[in-house]
Amino acid sequence: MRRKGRVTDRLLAVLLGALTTAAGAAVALWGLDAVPRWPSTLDLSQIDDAVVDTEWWPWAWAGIGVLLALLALTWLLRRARPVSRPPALSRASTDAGAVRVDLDSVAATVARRLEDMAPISAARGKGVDARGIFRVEVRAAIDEISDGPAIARAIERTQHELDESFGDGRAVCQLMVSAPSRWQALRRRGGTTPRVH
Amino acid sequence: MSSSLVPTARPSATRVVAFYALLGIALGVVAVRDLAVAQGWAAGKPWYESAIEGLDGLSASAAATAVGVVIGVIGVVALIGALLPARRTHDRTEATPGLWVSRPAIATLAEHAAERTPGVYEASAAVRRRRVMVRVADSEPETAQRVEDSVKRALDGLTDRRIVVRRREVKVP
Repeated sequence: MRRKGRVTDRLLAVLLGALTTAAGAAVALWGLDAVPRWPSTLDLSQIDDAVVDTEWWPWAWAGIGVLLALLALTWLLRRARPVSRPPALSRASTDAGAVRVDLDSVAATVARRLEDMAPISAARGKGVDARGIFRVEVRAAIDEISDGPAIARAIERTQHELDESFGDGRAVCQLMVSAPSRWQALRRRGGTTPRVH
Repeated sequence: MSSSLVPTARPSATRVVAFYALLGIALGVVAVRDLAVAQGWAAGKPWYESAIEGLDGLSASAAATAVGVVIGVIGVVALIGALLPARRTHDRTEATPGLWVSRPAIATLAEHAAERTPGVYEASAAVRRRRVMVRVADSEPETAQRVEDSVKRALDGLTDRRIVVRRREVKVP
């Protein structure tokens, strides 16, 4: 999820929360009869005659409802699917010419390499151009039979290879390891022999 | 490392907006149903008419206050959710730059390292803020030290948390 999306969600949530709180406070104050200017009994007969009994009201009500539902559905679908983004490209010029590198392809290769070297699986890589520094983000699941030093060695070696390819400090590898999902764990356990003490 | 991204979960603000989005969709369904009923395409009475009839003539009462308080509480919860920072999903490892590990991953490694230790019948692990708590079922008191060593080896370079082993003795027939 992008930073812009997070900020939008936060603003929307604050707005909706504030509106709901204000509505709740108004109803509670009316229930307590705390505001003398407000009538203690609701009289909606005028609204009934002037709005609800008209020909156009059902259409207007349906229009507002459908518009709200469409906005809500669009928002939900945008949050449900992964964010699509243009491929991150790195450009470099030398005397021999200009080079353009697709950072996502590099990240995918780094992910595969890490998977081969370290006790991890389901590695996915993403390349990000972070203000001139190429960041390779790799997300992976840790193997159940694994150890820290093996993962540390793999990432150190990967970082060394990136330094050799892009120059010292120009590319940074970030490996984020999580526990295997329930499905991954079940699939792996399915093929193993039960332990006997 | 300055160029590292701190991995976080979706902020709770997204859940708050999702809740209101579902309400919006429900409202749309009700509005279309009311239109169908009002135009005579379906039998029944529009719900907006029932709502207006129900509210008309309503007097200020304790019940209205209670409803207002409930709505207000929902609003306050939404506001708190909107302002809460996103939860961090992975911890940075001090020993290895660039390596971030989630707490469930540490627990998985600790649990399996404990389970593979000779003499252990059953093991589970939980990661707290400052320690990794490993619970084992075994038959010998010496197993606890072996489990601790085994878990330390497995987590070397991944976390600085203290390893605490709690054992439960089981009788072997």
